[in-house]
Amino acid sequence: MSALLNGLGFAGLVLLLGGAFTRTWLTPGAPRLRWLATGLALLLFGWGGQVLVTLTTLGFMAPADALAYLTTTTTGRSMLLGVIGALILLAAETGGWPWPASLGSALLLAWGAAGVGHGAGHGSWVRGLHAAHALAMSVWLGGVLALLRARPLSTALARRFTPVALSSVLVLTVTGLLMARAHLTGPAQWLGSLYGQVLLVKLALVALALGAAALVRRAFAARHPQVRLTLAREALLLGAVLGVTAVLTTQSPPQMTHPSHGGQP
Amino acid sequence: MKILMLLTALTLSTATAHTAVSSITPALNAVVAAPRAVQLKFSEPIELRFSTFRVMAIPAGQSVEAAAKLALAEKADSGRLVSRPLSAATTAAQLSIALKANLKSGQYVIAWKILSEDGHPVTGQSTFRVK
Repeated sequence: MSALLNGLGFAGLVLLLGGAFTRTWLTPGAPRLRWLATGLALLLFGWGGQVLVTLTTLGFMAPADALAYLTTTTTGRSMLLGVIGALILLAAETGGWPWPASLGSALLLAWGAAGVGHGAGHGSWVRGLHAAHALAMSVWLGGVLALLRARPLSTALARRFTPVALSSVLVLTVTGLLMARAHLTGPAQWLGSLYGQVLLVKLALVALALGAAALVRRAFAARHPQVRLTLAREALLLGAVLGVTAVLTTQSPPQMTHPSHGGQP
Repeated sequence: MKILMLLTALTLSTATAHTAVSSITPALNAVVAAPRAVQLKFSEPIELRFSTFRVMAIPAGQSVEAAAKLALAEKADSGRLVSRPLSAATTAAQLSIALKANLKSGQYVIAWKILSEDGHPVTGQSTFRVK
């Protein structure tokens, strides 16, 4: 259940952040606002569900507990901040506000989302890395989805997106490297834990997504008639990466295990 | 190798670590004289407002896990518990749980349901024996 809710939250982020990026910079006016509204709905459903599951697990189920959770805990306040950012972003896109308004609200949303999960509790630097990572992933997947839906699908549009996609991969790499040092210190932890095994599945999917992206580039260069099919493949693989990430975020890295009988319920 | 490192970075970047109890006093399965308190340290701060800690004598014939569930189901001021209610409601990386005086000989369970600062609920238990 937690993984499903995390996945819905990720999908909401991609629709909101990736959608706003493509509307502003790549394919003006597309996707339509209803896709961003759908993103907000998914975000609210995913985060709201997480609050419900968490409080039910902990045995705090009164309305006052939910209010206290949202206003006093790091996660709750981050969710509120993220939702405020999402609402301003939607308003900016609806009202046709200048692009700095969309950018500012997107940063607010990403900062809020970075505080939901393990971006919280490790200082502003780590949280900033998580925010940058979420933005980069949303831009990458959002751009691929925008290309997939573009009519007509021109090589010029793909060329316009290429440097952004490469920059996203670079940001993902740098932020990932900086955050990776704290987890999985040895090869045994990769194979000897459920966390490591899920991570290996995700690793394989990321490799496939990068391979699919290379095939898309080749298809555009060769003006291949089935370029849209290759784009769909890349989008599906990136979606699968998000799905596995949602599962991964419910797992605890092996070095966190305590000799007593602890664990996530 | 560089490609592997790059891909590793991509996959690890959203990894999460859940809060763990990093040390407990009395330690797991320790045999001690009746303690006045139980100390817990956490791998990162936890939200005390949404965390529950209970210490209870393990009833005869009960497994540790079953006793932990029973303990967590009790209210903080229950007479079945040997732990006293907590008053703090902030975040903390360590905690001292006061116990009632003169614990009888036997095995006790320390049970917890905690909310880590990153929002993950974590449950667990440990045991100790009073001489």
